[in-house]
Amino acid sequence: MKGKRKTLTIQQRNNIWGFAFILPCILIFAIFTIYPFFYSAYLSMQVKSGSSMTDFTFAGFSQFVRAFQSKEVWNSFLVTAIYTFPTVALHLIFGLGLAVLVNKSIHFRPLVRAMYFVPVILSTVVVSMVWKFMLSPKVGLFNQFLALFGISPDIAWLKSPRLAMAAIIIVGVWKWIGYFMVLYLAALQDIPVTLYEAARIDGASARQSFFKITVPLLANTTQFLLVISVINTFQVFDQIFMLTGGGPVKKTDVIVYYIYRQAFKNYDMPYASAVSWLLFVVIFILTAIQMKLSKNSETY
Amino acid sequence: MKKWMATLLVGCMTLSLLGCGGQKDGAEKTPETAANQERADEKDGEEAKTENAVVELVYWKSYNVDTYKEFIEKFNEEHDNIHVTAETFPDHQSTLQKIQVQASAGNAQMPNVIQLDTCMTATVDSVAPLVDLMPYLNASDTLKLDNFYETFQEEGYVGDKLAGLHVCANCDLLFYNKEIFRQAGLDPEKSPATWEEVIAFGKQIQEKCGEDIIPFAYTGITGDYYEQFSWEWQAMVQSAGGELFNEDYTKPMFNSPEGIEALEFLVGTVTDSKIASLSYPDKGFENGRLGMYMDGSWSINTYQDALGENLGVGLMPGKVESKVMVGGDQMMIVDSGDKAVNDAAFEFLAYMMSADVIIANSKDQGELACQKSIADTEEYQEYLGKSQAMQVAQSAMEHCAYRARTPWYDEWSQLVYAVCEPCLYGEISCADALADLEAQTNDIISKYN
Repeated sequence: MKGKRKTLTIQQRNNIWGFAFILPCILIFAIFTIYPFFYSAYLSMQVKSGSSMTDFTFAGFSQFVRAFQSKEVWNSFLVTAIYTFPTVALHLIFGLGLAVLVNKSIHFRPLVRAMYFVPVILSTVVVSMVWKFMLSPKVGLFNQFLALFGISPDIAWLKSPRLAMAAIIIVGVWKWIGYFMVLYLAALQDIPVTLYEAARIDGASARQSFFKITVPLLANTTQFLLVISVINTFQVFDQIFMLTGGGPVKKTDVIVYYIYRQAFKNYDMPYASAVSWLLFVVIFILTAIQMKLSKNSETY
Repeated sequence: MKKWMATLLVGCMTLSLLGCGGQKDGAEKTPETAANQERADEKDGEEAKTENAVVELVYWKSYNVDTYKEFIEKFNEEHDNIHVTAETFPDHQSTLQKIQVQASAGNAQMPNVIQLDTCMTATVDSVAPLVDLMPYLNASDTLKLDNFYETFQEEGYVGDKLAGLHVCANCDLLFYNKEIFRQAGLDPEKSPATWEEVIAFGKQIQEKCGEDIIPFAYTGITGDYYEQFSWEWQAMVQSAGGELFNEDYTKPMFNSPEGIEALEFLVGTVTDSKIASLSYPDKGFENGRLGMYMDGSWSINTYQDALGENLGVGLMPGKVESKVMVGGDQMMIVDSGDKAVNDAAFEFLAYMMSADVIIANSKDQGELACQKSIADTEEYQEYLGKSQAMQVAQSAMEHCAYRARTPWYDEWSQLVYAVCEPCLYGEISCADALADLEAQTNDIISKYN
């Protein structure tokens, strides 16, 4: 007598369909994310031994030692930190400021909100090219604007070791400020108006309302934006590539651009992979610290 | 219904992934002896001809040029058995990156003909074996090596193999604005011939024309490409009577009084005499804000259009009568392993080196003729006669020098800029910079030898 054919339960059948639908996505993720992730770990243990990008031999951890001993790597991490922390701070401060402003009843409010968001949807390459022209000494629009306030229009922003990073920060903040504004705006609109009314009745000033009500209730949003912003700004590349090429004198040579140079200008993939893993560890640690700090903070 | 949808979706994704890879037949051939390979190729070639098969060629080039597109279309129309597909890339660096990526993928999608910066030929040969062009030139009726200017005859060699042919040349020139010269009380028909004259003219322009006019600039400080600074410094070393490397490129020789002097001249125009500035406005020379500008001959047409009769041109200023450092493109054929394909590639290469194409490109892009017979044609001479700038540039072809023909040239050129740039900001002296450069150059050379 033949055994009864085993039938699947409803749950099992649903699971199969579920996996079938997500299978294409899993395949793409596996090929373009998981595989490169492990391949870069393998590459970081090799050393370049010829002209071709695939000429390498096993070298253990020597690439990591080389990275730790390289002044250029430490300079790149420092430059990246110099870019990241002011940019994140300005994103949060100006983003919140703009959100508070556009949250009020102003004329053409939807248009104003849309205008601030337009740079976010533009390509960073296009934005960088436009800013490159605007920052041109003597004739650039930005310099012409500064000339209205008595500042010399001769400033070579992108060629000045002191000002090049400031220019990159300006471009970075301008590009993403709309994103922060929109998220803060959504969070602001979740704050009950009755809280402000109650505060006003109790005699609180606008400043007190802002710091005692608005800021604490935006803590979750701020925390989210802080994490996302740090991760993204730490990986800045497009502006550097288009505006300064890492110069002048390596003052804007951020770590991702350094990795790019090693990989695609010097064709030293093993070394670039090793530095990439260092970057991963740094971002991981920063994110872990942020998560830990946020867990310890109060919730409202 | 769900079952069919899911199956269809998974099937589509799997098929699309299968389409990701792709290899030419040649890449899957098992290794054979050279003789067997040649016999197999000849047989393949004969079969291809017999069957009137169209040989598909891929041609990679940096910088998109309409003139070339027209001639490629014309070539395709005139040749039933060869079809060329051209792909262009934004610049030489991008093209070299693509070649490196294709080489790392096993040469499956490597083009047949490449046109690239002359200093990159050796690098390409180290990752994608190039065809020795000498046998083809010996057999050709139209293209001969001894028709090229002497420098270009030697330049294409990588080891004992003639790996590339100089298709178009350019050199750095000193452009100047005659109107600004007049305002400064300088003779508008005389360009500065020496470094001292450049500085003296620059100071006079500074004194007489005010702060709005920048007396002098060079592409090494106005551009973004490291090779511009590296090339100009190399040219200055030569024009100071110095050498960059020994004959077989195993020893750097630029850390010399001439090398230091050359770097000090370039840097000094910014830091000492201050006739040059890092605050260079975009299109400054075209807009009449710059007195003198060292730039390549490819800009002749742009400046001619912008300044017209006020454009003056001279050769690069120098200390001694010396060779002019030349740049430009070389054409090379990647060995496909198939004789018929290589033969077709040479036919295309010879066509692109013909007088019609070269002269048209010269008129359009300001590139210079590398072949004496083309330079001597009536049409080209007539064209030169109308452009004093082109005459000056072409005159340099008789006595020019080329850049290092090594696989590590590009890496070294990046290093030159990285090490010397701090001099422009006063962070390091020129002597210290060149000492550091020499040490790092020795490291690069030992890596490759």
